[in-house]
Amino acid sequence: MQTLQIRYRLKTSIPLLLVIIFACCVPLFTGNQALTLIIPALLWGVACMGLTLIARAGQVSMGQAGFMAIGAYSATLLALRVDVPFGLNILLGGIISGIVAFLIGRAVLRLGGMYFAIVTLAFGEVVRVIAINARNITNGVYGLTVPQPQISIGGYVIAFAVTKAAYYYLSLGLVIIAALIFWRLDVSRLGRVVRSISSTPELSQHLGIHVMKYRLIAFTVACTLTGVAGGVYCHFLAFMGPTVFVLSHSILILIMSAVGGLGSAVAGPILGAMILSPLGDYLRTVLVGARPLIFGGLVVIVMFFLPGGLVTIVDRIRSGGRRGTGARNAGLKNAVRNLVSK
Amino acid sequence: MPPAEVWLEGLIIGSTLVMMASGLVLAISIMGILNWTHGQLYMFAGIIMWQVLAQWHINYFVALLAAIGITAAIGVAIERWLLRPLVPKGFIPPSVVAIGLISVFEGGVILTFGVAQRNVPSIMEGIIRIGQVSITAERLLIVCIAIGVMLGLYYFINRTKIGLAIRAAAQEPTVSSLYGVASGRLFTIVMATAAGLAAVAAGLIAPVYFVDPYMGSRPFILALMAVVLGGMGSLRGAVVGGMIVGFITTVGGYYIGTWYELITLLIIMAIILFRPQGLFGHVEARL
Repeated sequence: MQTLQIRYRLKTSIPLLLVIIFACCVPLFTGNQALTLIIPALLWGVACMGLTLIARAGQVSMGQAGFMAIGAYSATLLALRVDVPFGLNILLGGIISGIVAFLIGRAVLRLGGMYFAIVTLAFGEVVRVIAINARNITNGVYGLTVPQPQISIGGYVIAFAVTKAAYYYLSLGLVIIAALIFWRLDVSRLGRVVRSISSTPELSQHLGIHVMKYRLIAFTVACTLTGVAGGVYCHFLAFMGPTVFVLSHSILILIMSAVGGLGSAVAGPILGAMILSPLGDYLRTVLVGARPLIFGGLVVIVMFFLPGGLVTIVDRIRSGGRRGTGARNAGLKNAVRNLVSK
Repeated sequence: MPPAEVWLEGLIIGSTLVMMASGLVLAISIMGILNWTHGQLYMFAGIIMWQVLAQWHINYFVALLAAIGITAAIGVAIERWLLRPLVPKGFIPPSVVAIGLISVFEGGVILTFGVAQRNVPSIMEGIIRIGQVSITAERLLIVCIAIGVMLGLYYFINRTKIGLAIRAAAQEPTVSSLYGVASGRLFTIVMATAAGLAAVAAGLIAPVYFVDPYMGSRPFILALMAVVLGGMGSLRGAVVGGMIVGFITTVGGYYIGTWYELITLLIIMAIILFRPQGLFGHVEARL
């Protein structure tokens, strides 16, 4: 039994380790140009994981870009006005974003569903309106120039302004940490409870689960990490303004997550972001309008023919093309099993 | 006291928001779905108006009818083939598909018409003076059409047999189907009405402002605010909420500039916090 378990762990962890090692080597054989495509993909991946966690709790958030903007503006302003050192400012930005999410979630997650979607949509707009109009803080539409950090490790100076690889490793580290957090959350009691809430809210409430509490934890954690991703992103751009994170980015995050697969907590959203973000950057240079058309079409097709997202392709091939793998099984039976095994 | 032009502007924007919000409310209370593509239907109608009026130089009312017909057909197609199959799967699948469709429509229109802002020729020339106030005849006509359409909607919902079926299905879906209301056909009628109302709103606004592929999202957000303000699923609430939001955006904008957007959004958040059923609604989304 134990050897079986060890073998199972090796079977899953060795490919994962190989992927991480490969990811660490990427800057060795790619130029800066490729990295400018990969870094945003990684950061969108973090935001997508956040959205997926919220979606697995049965909610649709239309304001994830707003939380990225909060994290980014906080990090920038902390660095510019208060001289908070690099790293700490991004972390604080994430925490501020998490606090905002906590307050909003406390107020609206009780209602959930449409109300939550509308309030998050309104929230994203509130952030944009404040960013445009509070000129003496955010410099309005002209935005802020984000200072580029320099770190010296043992006499060796890394200037983030020059080496994109520094941002790459920062983003990669963030993705790995975020993936660990989201994966842990997903396999923990919280993850099971959250899924049971999403599939049968009445039943889980009936069994004495504090639905609100678990939804709130999921939302707060997701938005904290989303805020951190926003902070890194604006440092990478070296600019933060009201147009960096808008409603269309919230929609983009949702599309990436859904195409990758809302059925898995970590692999789906990362896969979606890694495929769609570079593709989108490419399409934007080719033909204006091609990106929204293709992305939108893709998400509609995926929702109809592959409801678990692109990640379930592997499962489906393994199970010999049978339908019904992935998220669709999370029906009443699974919900009950989740609750019983808690 | 702001000048009369500002109030008239508020009336115009308010009445278009009422039409948008009524469509949203109908979809919410009958199908139980939030139609995220509503703003893009509005945008489609605006683009059709431009195509027919500015390119083909055909009469305004022909253009309006064409916009209504095509938009209603698109709306029905979306509901019938893209949203209805997914509704039984819960809240997330239809929402994700509808949000994806936002991108599809915007991208499609950008590819075929470009991103430029386009002017739609005005309906008629001339200025009408009433005492101190002078308003363009066009705006007066728009207000009259808007009031006419809203009265028509009132008659349709409250005085016709289909309207009775709609109200019954909103209140008691199961019982109404027992009494012979074919829910599928009703969905089609409701969606056509909702999309048609969005088209009328766009058709009225288009000659006054301009049209572009992104014109849909702002009225959609404002209409959502109106729906929340009036109460989800309440048609009366949609009318009152639409007018209030319309006047906040114009009269409020006259006093405090661009900050009015924040005021609207904060009011909505406060409403959801303290009175989620809105002004006229029930907590359950029912008409």
